[in-house]
Amino acid sequence: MKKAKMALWAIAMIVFAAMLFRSVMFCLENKGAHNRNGDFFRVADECDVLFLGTSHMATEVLPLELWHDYGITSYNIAGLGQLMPVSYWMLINALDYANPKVVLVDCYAIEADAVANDGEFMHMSMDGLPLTKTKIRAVCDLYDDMDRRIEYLWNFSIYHNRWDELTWKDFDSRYDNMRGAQFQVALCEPAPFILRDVEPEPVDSVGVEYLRKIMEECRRRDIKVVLTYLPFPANESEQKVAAYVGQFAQEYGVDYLNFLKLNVVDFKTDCLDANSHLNISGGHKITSYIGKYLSEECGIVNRRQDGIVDWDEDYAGYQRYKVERLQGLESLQNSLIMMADKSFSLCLYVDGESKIWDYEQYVNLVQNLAPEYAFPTLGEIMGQGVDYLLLLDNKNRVIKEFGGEESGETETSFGKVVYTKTEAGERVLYLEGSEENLLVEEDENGHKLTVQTILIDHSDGSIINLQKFQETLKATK
Amino acid sequence: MLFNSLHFIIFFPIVVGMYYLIPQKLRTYWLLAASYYFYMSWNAKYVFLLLFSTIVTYVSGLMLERCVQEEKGGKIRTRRKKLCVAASFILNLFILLIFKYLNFGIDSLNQFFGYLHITLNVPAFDLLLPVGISFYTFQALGYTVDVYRGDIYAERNFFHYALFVSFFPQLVAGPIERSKNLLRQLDKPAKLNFNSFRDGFLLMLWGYFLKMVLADRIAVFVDTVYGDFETYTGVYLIVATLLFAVQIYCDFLGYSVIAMGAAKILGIQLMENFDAPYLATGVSEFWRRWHISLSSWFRDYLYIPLGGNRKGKIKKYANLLITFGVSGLWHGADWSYVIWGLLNGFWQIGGSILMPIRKKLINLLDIKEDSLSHKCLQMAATFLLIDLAWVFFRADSVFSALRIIKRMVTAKNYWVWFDGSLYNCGLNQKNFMLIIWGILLLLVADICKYKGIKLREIVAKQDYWAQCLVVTTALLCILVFGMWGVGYDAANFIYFQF
Repeated sequence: MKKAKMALWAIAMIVFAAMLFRSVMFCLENKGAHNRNGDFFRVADECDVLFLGTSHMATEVLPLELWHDYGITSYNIAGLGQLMPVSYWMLINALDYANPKVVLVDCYAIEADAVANDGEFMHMSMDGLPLTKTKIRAVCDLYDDMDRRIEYLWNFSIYHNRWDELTWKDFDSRYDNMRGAQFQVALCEPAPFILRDVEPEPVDSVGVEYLRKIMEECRRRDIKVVLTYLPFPANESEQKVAAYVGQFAQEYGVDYLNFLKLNVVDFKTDCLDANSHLNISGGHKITSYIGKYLSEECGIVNRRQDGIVDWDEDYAGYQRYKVERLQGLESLQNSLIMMADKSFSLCLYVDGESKIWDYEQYVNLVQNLAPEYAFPTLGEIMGQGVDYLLLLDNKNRVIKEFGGEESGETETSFGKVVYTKTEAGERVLYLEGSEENLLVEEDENGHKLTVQTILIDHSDGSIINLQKFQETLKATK
Repeated sequence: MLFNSLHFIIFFPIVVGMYYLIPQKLRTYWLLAASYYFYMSWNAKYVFLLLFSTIVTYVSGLMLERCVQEEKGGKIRTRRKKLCVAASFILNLFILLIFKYLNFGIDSLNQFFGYLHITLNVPAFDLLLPVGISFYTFQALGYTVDVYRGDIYAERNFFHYALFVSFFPQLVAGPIERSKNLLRQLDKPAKLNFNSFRDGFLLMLWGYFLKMVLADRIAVFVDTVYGDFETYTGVYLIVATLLFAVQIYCDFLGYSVIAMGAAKILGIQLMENFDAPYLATGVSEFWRRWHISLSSWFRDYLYIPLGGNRKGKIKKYANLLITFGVSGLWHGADWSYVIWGLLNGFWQIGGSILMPIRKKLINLLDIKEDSLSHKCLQMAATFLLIDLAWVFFRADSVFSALRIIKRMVTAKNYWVWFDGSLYNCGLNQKNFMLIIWGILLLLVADICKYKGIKLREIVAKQDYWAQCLVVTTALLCILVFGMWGVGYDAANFIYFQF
């Protein structure tokens, strides 16, 4: 009897210790992969499209925008520094849970001969995978070294050291609901880009070897593959690789979207860094293009009527996240990049004393708010030292400019907008139903405000964010 | 194979599992095989040295035994006995000399002639120091002396004897066991006993805590500062030296405790190697509490045979210096170790010479010798003397050690105590706090030991859930706060190099 009691105690304590240990492991884990891919297993069986590739794909295709704009259910399982062998295993793991109709594979860095990058990026990919037979196969395939295998199969072996850098966020088990995507907000002058008519340069690399494996696996499962080469200011050598991917696609009879030739983005406003990544503005454009392509060319149906409520909720969360990011921005430049987003409407007021028109980057960024619009008034007032108001209703696609002494009322999806001048010569802007003047001349500290932006939720006319910028073009808090 | 390596974590449960599953009469052979595997996993070739030492001392033991039997028959065999002992010592120490001290001798010779402006340039040999050679050689030689003295009978079963020399928990870093204690236990393998198992497991956990949480964490700071003592001067060196005293204690105590725990799980009781040494109130007492198995080995097999304290004070002091000088040399083939050993000898001689003055001072100042405050003062003074000697132990050379001591005293960067600069030497503030908590825990454990309070017995008396909670908490602490895993090479125990 005593032995039985002891055994019971032992079992109870082992269970308790295991639970405790699991909780501790979770708290200590770097949440990057968990945040990005933790949600995948909840929605995997609903996804029609999967995106694979490196950081280009991870930061430039936004699945929740595809859902909102096209009703396409997708997940972005690309990752930073995720080379083709890792992408292959990410796909194999994903296919244990999902039955996608289309897989888009971005072929940037296909010429790389490395199997995997080590370090944080690799963990961002592998840590999100549950410990299954597939993960064990993946790690054993990617690494020969036992220490490395242990590192990726039991990441506690590296994360236990994080006890001294834990924050409250580490105890939060919720994850980002952005369907694996992430975005960056910054602008960089692009490297010179000259599109050349190059011959494909044959590539024989580990990357190609694993891309063939992806093709074969998808063929076996009857999944349509689309190859892409997402845009960046590519040099001649990279353009040759992009051309080779076209040849590769032909060999397998699959579609290929070479964005280097598609003129979808504007490097002047969309480059995050000089020669590789796009910012969120570029991401919106790529996502929009791919959404249209998937709907029209791949027959991916709009699933908005399927009653998948989680996606709408997550989209709303994604919108809130964007607003939070926007509110945290301190420079006009980054605000303009984030506001180049068709899911919001906005008013942009520029005081006549502002110097922003002296800088080409600001002119480009303002024009990037509505790339298809010619901005005739802006062309006229530049250099005149007069006030300027841009009213952009992205729901009804109403675009209205006011320059100099112009005033007026404009009907928008969120009601009438009144822009006028008081007898004292003060500019005022009212939204319908409100008597509050949205334009202020000085901030609380008496600093002159030269640029003001008003972000509007066009579904209900509410003001989401109001930012005021001083002469230095820094946001006033 | 290090105790703190994955290899050992896999190896040990297999050894224990098999040990208790196989018939009792086979257990010795199983442990012998495991011990040789343990040794060979480091360097398979050097197992022949272990085997050589085993055979030499085994045969000498049998020959000595025969002499003893013949003496019982009335024959005088003193000369033959001494010859056996001498042969055993010469052969074993020759191996030790070749592998541990040959290059040191050559270097010293080259340097000596260099000072005389004579170029000798005797080339050094490319020899890797066999791990644990000093430990198993001394253990085997201790057996020879024990048989010579008639303290024990010679072991006739070669495999049992081979296991005595190579028993893996204490093979590479002690404790240097006495044949009287260990051989008898190895001859009669114990049955599985829950209490021993639990006790051994708790000991191992404590050992891992000391090694992985404290010693290896402190090592980061000490290595940074001592590695660049020209930059990190003054307070940095003082803190590093104070911490090194804790590091080496935790490192070696950690190893000894893991060894004791592992042996206990196998039903074997090894001797205690440490007894709260930093609570000693004098240097002599410190050496009765520090590395007890080695200190007592030197006492029994060197100091006392030299005459000990029986032949007057001068001879006693000379014996002390010889013993501690040899002890220093045992620790490492470098003059800095010799000086370290000699310093410890000098502290004791100085203490002995100054004793009358101290007594007078105590009487004059009306100090209560039994008071806690006086004892604390003595402990602090002892600690500082021992710690000062540790500088020679830790520094790369004698000159480095002297320079470090000079820079400790002369650099006046007292602000380092307060401005957070200490946190830029590899350990941040949280890690320092963890070290402080760990040292406090160690202090409590040592005070309990000092006062005869057995913490493991207290744990054993608790309900099972409380015992499990202690084990779970300890395991978690080691796993979370321990220095292990990727990006961190399992650090050698300091005493492995001896």
